[in-house]
Amino acid sequence: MVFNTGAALLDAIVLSVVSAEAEGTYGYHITQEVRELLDVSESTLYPVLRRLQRDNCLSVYDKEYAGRNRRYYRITQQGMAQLNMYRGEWQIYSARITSILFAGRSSE
Amino acid sequence: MKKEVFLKELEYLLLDLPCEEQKEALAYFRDYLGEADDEEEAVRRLGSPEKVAAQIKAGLSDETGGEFTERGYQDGHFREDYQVPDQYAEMAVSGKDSGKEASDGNGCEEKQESGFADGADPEGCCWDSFAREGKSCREEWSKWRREKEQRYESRWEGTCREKENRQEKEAPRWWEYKEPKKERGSFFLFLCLLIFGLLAAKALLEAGFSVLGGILGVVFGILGSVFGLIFAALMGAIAAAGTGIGLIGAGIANLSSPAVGTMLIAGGFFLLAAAVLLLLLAGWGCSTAVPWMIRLVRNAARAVGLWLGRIFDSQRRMRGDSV
Repeated sequence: MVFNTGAALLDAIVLSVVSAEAEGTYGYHITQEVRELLDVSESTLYPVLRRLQRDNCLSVYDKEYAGRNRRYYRITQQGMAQLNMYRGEWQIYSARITSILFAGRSSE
Repeated sequence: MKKEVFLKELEYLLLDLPCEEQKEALAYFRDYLGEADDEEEAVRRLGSPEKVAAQIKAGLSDETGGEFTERGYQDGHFREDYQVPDQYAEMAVSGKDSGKEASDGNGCEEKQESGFADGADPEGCCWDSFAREGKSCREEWSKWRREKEQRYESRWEGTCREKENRQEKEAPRWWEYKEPKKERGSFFLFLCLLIFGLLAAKALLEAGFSVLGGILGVVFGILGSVFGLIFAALMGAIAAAGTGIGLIGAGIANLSSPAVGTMLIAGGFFLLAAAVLLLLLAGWGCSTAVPWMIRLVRNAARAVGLWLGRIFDSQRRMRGDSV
């Protein structure tokens, strides 16, 4: 990707991925989902998840799976509010960029 | 690199962090690697422990220096020769698959397996970066500890694991636990407070009865006055009616003198009107004021009864406690 984007986008994507599952989802799954969209290294997402957890955007709980522990991340109300804010901001931002990049193309 | 080697190195690299952060990070990466089908491949994709440790530490600072570039997510903090403890910065070698080097020729893998299995500190371990430098892990560990102890002097409490082990040892076992001895002073204080409390309650109760008597006196006084007024109104009405009738009779008898007769008759009617008014007043008193007074007294008596009951209950409880 040639465009540089700040870490807020990563927060938004992680929140969106987590919010897709009502029961929450686990770190490995989140990483694989994000890696399908963005070229991030696998270790990048732990600090993001930890920060979102500290900011009360995500809550965690442990569940046994196949004889070992699996930590699930679930979006909180505060996280949902943050995600909605990101969604609104992204719509405004992307619409502006689109209007500039594709200005006059429809009349051509 | 094997999962356990990766986690052990990561644990070492995170020793500077608070215990909670160390535990969270290690638990996450242990779970993460447990999910992968091929653990060694997953470790390779994560990158070197130095890079992962740098990312974790950068995530804990308020700086958000990362951004997406044409080469993916980049952050200056995450360079592999960055953010590792200063004295070991030169040991972090970027871009090499260190796992293979570690196992070259010096039999480290066997030592790692045995050393890590019992969870001991680097006794017998052989971390890749040290192995590459040809350094003894034990010596490096001792050196690191000495530096920590010198830097933090008495404030250095050891690693998280050492702290936990120490706390576990210090905490008394259930069979060693003894009830703390009660101090005699506190018993005497309790006794004094109890006696003082009982005396105060008695005085308050006596004062309460006096106040209660006063209130009852006022209530019955008002009640008596109302009954008296009603009785007086009734008697007044009878008297006025009698007198009025008498005056009217006298007026009729004295009509020979029209002025006197008319005045007597008028006076008689005036008294009759007054009698009717007094009768109405007595009737209102009997139908409205007396029932209201009775209700008032009944409610007051009920409230006083409840109050007294509560006082007696609390006294009984106090006596029971003291016994």
